[in-house]
Amino acid sequence: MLDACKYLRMIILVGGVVSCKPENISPVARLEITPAIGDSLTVFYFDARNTTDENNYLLSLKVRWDWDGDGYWDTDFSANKEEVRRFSGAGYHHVRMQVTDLDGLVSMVEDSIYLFEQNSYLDSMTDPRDQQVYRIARINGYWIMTENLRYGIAISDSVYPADNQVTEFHLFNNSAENLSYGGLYTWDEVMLYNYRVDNQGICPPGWHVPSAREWRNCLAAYPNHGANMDYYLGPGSPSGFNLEFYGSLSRNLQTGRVYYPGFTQSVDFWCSDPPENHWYLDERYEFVSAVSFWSLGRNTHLVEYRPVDPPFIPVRIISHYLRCFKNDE
Amino acid sequence: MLGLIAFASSCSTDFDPLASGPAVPVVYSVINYPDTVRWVRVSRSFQLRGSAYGEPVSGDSLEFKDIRVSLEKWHGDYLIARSEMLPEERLRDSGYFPAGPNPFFQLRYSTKTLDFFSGNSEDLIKLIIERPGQPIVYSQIHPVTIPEISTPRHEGEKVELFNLIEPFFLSWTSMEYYQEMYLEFHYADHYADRSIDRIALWKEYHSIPPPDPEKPLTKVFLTGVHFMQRVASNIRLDTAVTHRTFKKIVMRLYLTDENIYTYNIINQVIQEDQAGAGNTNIVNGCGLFGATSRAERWFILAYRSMDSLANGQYTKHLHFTNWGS
Repeated sequence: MLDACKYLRMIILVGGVVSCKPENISPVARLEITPAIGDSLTVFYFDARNTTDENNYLLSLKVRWDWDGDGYWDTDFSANKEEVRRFSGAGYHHVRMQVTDLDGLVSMVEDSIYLFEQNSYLDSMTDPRDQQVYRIARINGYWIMTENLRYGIAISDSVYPADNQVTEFHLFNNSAENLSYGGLYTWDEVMLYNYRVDNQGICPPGWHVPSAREWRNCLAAYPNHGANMDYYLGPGSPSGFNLEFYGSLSRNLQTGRVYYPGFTQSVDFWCSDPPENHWYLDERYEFVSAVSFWSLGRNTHLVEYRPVDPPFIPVRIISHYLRCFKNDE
Repeated sequence: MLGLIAFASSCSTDFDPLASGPAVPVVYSVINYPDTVRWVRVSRSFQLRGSAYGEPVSGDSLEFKDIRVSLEKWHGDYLIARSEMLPEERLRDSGYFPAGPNPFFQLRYSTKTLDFFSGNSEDLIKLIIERPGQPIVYSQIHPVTIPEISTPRHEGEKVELFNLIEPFFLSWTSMEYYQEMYLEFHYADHYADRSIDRIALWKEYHSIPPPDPEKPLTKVFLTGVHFMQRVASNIRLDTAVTHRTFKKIVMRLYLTDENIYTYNIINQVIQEDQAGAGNTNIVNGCGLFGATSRAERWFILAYRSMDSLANGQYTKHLHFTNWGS
C-alpha cells in the first residue's frame, strides 16, 4: 500500500479508512514588473503569467492584487494575470499579488516600484561678485547650479582667453543674445590657472568646480546610459537639474576654424580633476576632464571620456560650460 | 413554500443574449523595422442584432472617441523616447462596412521620432492607449532588427548551383523567433507579338521556432537539381510562348517575433465563425501588437546553371534561352 502511494499523500481517516489522494501543492506566484522605476506618467506593467501550479493549468489560476501594500486586497480574484496602471506619490510603492488554484490553495508574491521624487529642494542664490541670480537645486547631498555660470566678460571667439586676472568667456555662436546659455569657458579660466581638485576656480564664494566623482555621485539616482536625458534631467524633470543641450566650442584643426557643435544634442561641463578614464584634450593638448550629456538615441548618457591618441583627433575642444557645486551643510 | 414562491418570482427573465456588452478595444499594429511610418489601428468591438450586411453601423460603434495613443521606447528600466501618435483616417478596403470609419494612428520618421526607427532587440517598445475613465490598453514588444545576409555576398552576384565541391547556400544571421525565406524567379515570357515580365515565387525555407541561441547563422543549401525542379513546378506551361529569358533571382527574408507567429498559428485553426479562443497580447483589449523585419538580395546564375536552365532535363520544356537574349 505504501508503495502504491509512493507519490501520494496518505490520509488516515478517523474510521480507520485509508485513502490516497494526489498531493496538492500550492501554486507558485511569480510577478514581473516593467519598469521598476518611473514617475507619475509611467505606465507600469504587472505580468503574473509565469505563475505556476503543478496540478492546474495557468488558465484556471486566479489572482488578486493589493496595489498599495496596505494588507487589503484591492481587487477580486480574476483569471486576468496582466495589469497595467500608473502610480502617484514619490518613493517606493509595494505591490502584492496572491494566486489561488481550484482547490483554494494560495501563495503570494510581493514586489515594489520606485517613483522618482519631484525635487522639492529648489532655490536660488545670488553671486555676490556681480549680483547675478542663479537657480540652484539640492540633489543627492550636493547643491548644484541649475543654470550655467555666466561670470566674467564675454570675448570674441577669435580671441583665446589669457591669464590676466580677468575671467573671460565665449558666447555660443559668438552672439550676445546667447548670454542666457551661460559662458563657454576654457579649462584654464575655470581653474584660475590653478590645477587642483575641489578648486573654487571661478565659482562664487563657497562653491567649487566639481570633480567627475562628484558629478557621478550627484546624479547616481538617475540613469547614466541608454536613457532619455531630457526626460530625466531636462527642464521640468523630477530631478530639477534643468539640463539644456547648448553644445560647446571647438576648433577644427584641419581648417583652423572654430565652430559650435552639439546644439540641442549635447552639452559638456568642466570637471576640476583629470581622474582615471576621464581624459580629454583641450586646446593646448593637456589632459583635462569634462562630463558630457547627449540627448539623442543610444548615446543618451553621461559620457566618460577616455584616453585618445592625439593624431586621430582633428578637433580640439576650446570651451565648455560650468556648473558649480556646493556640499550640502 | 411561500418563501420558495417569492424566491422564484423574484427571478428576472430579462436576460438578453444580444444585449450590448462593454466595448472592447481592438488593436492591430505591426512594427516593421525598415518602414518609415509606424501604424496602429484602434477600433472597438460591437454587437449587432441582425445581419452585418443588413444593419447600418454608425461610426460611434466602430471607433473610440477621445483616445490617446502613444509609443514609448525603453531600455531596461529607463525611458529612451515617448511620442504620441497622430490620428489619421484611412479609406477602408472593400468588405464589411466599407463606408465606416477606419481609425488609424501614425508616427512618422523624423529627427524627433527616430528612436522608434532604430535600436536593438533588447529595447522594449510599449504601446499605450488611454481612454477617459477606462483602464489603460497596453502592450509591449521587442523590435525585430534587420537580418544580415552573408550569402550571396553582394547584390547581383553570379552563383553556380552545380558546384559539387562547394555546394552553394544562402545564409544570413538573425535570432528572431520565426523566419521565412522566399525565392522570386524573375523571367520574361516572349510571345510572337509581345513580351511579358513574370515572377515565379515560392517559399524556400521557414524556421522552426524557437531559435537556437547557439546558431544565429542560418544556411540554406540551394543545389542545382532542387532549384531546377522548383522552377519547373512554379512556371505554368504556355504553348504560345516562343521562348523565355531569365532575369534574376531575388531572395526575400521575412522575420517575425513570437507574437505574430503565435497569432498566425492560432488563427489558422480557428474556424471562420471565430469560435474558439483567439490570441491576443493586448492587455485590457484584444488584437495584436507585433514586430517584423525583412531583407532582400538578388543574384544571377552562372554558366553551368544557365546551361542547365536552358537545356537540363527539368526545365528544358520551358524554352529558356541560355544567355537571356
